[in-house]
Amino acid sequence: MRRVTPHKRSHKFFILLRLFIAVIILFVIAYSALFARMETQGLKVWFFDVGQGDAIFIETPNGQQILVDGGPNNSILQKLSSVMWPWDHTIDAIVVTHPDADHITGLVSVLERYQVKTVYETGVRGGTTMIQAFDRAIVEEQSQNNFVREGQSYNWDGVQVFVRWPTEEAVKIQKDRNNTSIVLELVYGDTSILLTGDAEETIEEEVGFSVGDIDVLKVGHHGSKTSTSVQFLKAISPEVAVIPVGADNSYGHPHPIILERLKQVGASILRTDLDGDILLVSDSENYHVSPAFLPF
Amino acid sequence: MRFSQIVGSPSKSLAVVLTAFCFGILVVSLFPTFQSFFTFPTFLLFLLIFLFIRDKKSRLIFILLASFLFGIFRYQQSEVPSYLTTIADRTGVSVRVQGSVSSEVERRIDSQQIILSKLIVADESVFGKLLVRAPLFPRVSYGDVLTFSCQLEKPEQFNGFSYDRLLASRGILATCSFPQFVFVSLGDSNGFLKTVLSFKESVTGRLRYLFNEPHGSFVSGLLFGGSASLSNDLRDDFSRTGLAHILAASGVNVSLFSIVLLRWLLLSPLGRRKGLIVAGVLLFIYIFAAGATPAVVRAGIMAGLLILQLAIGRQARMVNVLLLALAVMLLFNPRLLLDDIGFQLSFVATSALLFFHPVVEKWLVFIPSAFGLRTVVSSSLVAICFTLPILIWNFGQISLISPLANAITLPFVPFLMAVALIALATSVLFLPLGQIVAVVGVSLSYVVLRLVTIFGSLEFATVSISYSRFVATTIAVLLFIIVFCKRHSFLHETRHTT
Repeated sequence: MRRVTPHKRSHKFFILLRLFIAVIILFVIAYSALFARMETQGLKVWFFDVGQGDAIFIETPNGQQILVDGGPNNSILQKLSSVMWPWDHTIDAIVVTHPDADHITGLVSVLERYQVKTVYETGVRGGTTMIQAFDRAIVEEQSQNNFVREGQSYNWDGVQVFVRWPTEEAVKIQKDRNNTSIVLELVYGDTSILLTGDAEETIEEEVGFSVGDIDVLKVGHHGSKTSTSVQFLKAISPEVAVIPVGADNSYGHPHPIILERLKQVGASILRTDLDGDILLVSDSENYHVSPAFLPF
Repeated sequence: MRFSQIVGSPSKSLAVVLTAFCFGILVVSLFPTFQSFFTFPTFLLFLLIFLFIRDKKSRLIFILLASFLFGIFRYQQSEVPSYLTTIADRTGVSVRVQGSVSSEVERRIDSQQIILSKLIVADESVFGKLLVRAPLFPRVSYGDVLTFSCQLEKPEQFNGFSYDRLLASRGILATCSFPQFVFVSLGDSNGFLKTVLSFKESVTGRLRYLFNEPHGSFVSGLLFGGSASLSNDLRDDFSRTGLAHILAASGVNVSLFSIVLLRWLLLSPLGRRKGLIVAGVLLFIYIFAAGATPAVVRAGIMAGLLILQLAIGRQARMVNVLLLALAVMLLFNPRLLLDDIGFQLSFVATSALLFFHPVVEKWLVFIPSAFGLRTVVSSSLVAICFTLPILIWNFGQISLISPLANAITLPFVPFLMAVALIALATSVLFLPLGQIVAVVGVSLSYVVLRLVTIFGSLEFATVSISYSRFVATTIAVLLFIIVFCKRHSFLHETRHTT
């Protein structure tokens, strides 16, 4: 046995101290982006680049976290860990606009890895194996399940949320799952954002008039020709249009016609396939939308 | 070395006999047409002669011939008999397939990779295994029985890499992507492997809870092999930077980690004997925790060799141990030698570490030895140099950034693995403590992954090499010459630890 002299002990202490400092420096480097954004006050909305699908992450002014759709694969998990602290294992709510694979696949893993307090959904189901897996995950999570209908409104920590679709009737008919999509209007001070899921033209026309003028539009159905009609755009006249769409997707989204229509109404366009992850920040008076770098 | 010297020394005789066996397998894998029904009878004949003659020199010659022929026989035996209907015969058309999941399911970011055996195609049972790429859901696990319809395909070479032969060495003769109408039923297999795999699943599950993505996938890839659940972009970056080997279940990472872990253990208050025992026990646990797949068992054997080397101390005897390990692994699957790049990388890296690491470490005295840093750098360097020809041969491209990327990132790897293991262990005792340790790991992992993505995004990261096989051979020959000229200093190196 070696005897530990006081001198040696202090030497060891300094080694440990150096290690500790090294770890803290590494941690700050690793989470520098998150540290930097801690300063930004207000509403933050992330449009994640998860390929051909939707995944939108909302952080309210006081740090409540809401995830709208989960994208077509598990890359949502990487995105979430870039915007959440590593010890944060809870998400306040998830919104399931409609149960198609490109919107719910990632949510299954989110439900498994994170504790989700509330689920907002339409109750629409279908026979796909994906939906069965999603159903099982929802049941196991045992979170509070809210069925969302047109006309309801919520207050998420100062952010007003108006449900613009679906109506009870639309859910009952259920001809096309896309047209049962939850359409949400978020209003925070002077900033208004419209999240449309995969809703198509017929729904847009009904929604458009009740919504009125908005600032930022999440373009419906990944820029497909079936959504984003001219009348709808005229009714809501968005300043910024965000298109969540996968690079080189097999559907040819976004359709050139849609891009042209958006230009016609004077909206500036941001696309996840070209711009990567996109961040909207609003301090209730002004808002700013721009591509924001996420490491993974 | 003269022939009489070999005859006189049992340990040298053993070495040449084992070499003859491996050489037999090598020859027949290079010339697959070299076939005859007489291999086995001839082998028996030589064996008989060996048993009944007295002259020592002739005895050695006959046992050498016998073991050479046995190598050839073993390889021929591993070939699929032509009279059997295999799954490869049913490719090209859409058919109804049933099979049971025969190994761990690889969960990728957007799909699952499933290997099926006990195949029944259109109500007829066929030989061989099938690799299926299926959607993420329904989730499939080991032992399940799947029924679906699919257009089967024959695996093919791509970019000069013999993917088909790699799959064939694992018994996989056909592939199927995104089958339709998948019906999953629980199988009745309730065996040993099922238990091991569900244990592994719980371990990786905990890792994924402690380390958020992509760090959870990265760390579990480092510990247990497999880069499956990383995003495609990250996987590309890993191969562009020549770092994919740390995630392959090739054993390179296991060997690297064990050599560093050993150094730590031996310098710890445990002392040499106990340190070696602890390392051995940890390795044993590791093999089962990692799912005890053939690749993991092989990696474990290689790492075991490193422990054994320290226990024995003499390099010369390690040649025999290494040859014996090689012969045993080839006895189980003779196709590994030329067809399984993971095996090649692992074997070459471990051999290089065994013989050259102690010397190279002495050359690098200018690197501080604190926290085993010198060991990490020197062992990474050795592994990189010796695996380079294999990588060039197989992939026809060289990562220019690879030496730099390896030298900078590899030293983090053993620390990250150690932190991950500590986080796992502490989280079992007290979850919040595990989470605190995991934050350290996440930070380390972040730095490594960021380096990989930065290096990978460089334009000039990889260059395709024309005459790649020629270049690979030249490098291999150069390495061989260096080793040959310096063999005395390598072989007589004894390891003095502490």
